[in-house]
Amino acid sequence: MQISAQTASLPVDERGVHTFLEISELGAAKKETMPANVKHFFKSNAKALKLRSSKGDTAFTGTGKMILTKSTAGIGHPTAEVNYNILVELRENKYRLILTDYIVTPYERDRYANFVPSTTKYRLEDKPGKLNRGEWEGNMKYIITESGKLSAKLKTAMNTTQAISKPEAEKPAAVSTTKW
Amino acid sequence: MKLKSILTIAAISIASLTYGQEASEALQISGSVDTYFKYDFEKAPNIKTYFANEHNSVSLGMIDLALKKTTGKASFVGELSFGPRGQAQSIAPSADGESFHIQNLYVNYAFSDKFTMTAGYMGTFVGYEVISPVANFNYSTSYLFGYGPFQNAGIKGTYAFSGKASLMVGLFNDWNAYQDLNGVSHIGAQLMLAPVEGWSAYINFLSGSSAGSPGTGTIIDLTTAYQVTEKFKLGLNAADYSIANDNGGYSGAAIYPQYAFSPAVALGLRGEYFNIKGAGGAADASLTAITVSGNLKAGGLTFIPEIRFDSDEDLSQSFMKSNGAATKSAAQFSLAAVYAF
Repeated sequence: MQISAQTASLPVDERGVHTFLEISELGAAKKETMPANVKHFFKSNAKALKLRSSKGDTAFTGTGKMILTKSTAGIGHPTAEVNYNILVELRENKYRLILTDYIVTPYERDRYANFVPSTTKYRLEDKPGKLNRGEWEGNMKYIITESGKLSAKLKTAMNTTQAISKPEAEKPAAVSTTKW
Repeated sequence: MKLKSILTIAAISIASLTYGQEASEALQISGSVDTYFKYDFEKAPNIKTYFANEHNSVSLGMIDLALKKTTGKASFVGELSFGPRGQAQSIAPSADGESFHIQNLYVNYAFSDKFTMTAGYMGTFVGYEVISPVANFNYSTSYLFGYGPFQNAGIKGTYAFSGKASLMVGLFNDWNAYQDLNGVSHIGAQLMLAPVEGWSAYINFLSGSSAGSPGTGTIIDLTTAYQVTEKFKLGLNAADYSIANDNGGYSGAAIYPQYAFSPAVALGLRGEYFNIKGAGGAADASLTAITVSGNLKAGGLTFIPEIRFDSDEDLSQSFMKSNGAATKSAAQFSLAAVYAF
């Protein structure tokens, strides 16, 4: 599935929940490294992702967080955070990424002019009224873009061989400087 | 030689600090603009609420601009305000009588994930309501807000025991003062507790002797809010302020139930009881106030229609009828527009 930021909305799954899904084929040579690469992907994105559980070496489940920012020319401030579930499943020479259950927590300004999470949150499926449709569409566009970026990161991780655990290089034998 | 050594050590320290810096985040800019119309039903300046006090006039609040920058573990916030709400009505003038337009000006350093230190001029940590109209539900403000501190300049350290508890302790200037004329004279503390998701409680303490004050003033304040359901939020503020040696003070409590019909439409009530302590054996004076406010949001714009009824049992507020006769009650309507960016 290819989704661009121009798409108005993420598709919904069987439950009616907005879902980002991408299936990618890998060459046969990558098969052995896939599980290690997924773990490496979670580890290297530890600020945004948390690996909760893994089922054998074929399914990895976790949670993620992205910060939405209102900005023009790189200047703005955070407006909301979005928490979601992430699932990476491996099969033969391909994998699929699922991002779903997006929950949006708007940020509010505090007394020190910082932006902090408010106590209200809503599911991405909750339809906005007419008054807030523009903001909702902006959030959706941002979520699609950020989900796409995460997918690209995973693709890079899956196509690398850096995560293969290599045997430690043999240490040179110790030398004695007292006896000779 | 000694000077040379000190300079060398300082240079090495600065170099290692610079080397240890993480990438800086983008400059944050945010702010707001607010304006309002208020109509007092007795056509008199009765309810001396801060910020919405001009009768039968389309009046200005303020334009507010805040900058924030984070570089590694260090950050600063500078917030400037222009307009009645952001100058004379909320900031004491400096020695030459001019306002510096500053709402927040502080630097912050996170020594670790748990411990941060902040120094500068900051919005007060005491109370439920704040100066920025963006962070309040009601447009007019409570007596508890009006009588309490607006800003505290000082230095404070905050230690987070966990996500559910933290403690702040600091030394502060006199209330709302850029410069403390009798030295840094106040000690403050705040215990934050968040026992369950959606519930936060702040227990605040601020005590000290201000320049020219007849005694040491001490505030103990509780500010708490609980998101009871997805749509219903309940807030509470209770405070007691006493100046030593029977020199007055105040106490009171305000409750803030709010119901969100949708993300764009919400209705909230503020019910307040306020007591002004009599000084030198004088009698106390009590007030009650009920304020009903709506919040109608469209993008960055929020309309706040509001109706407010105040009861002044002891005639401490000099409420008047339209014919000039004294009265114990006052009522007003206001409509505010607040744009946040």
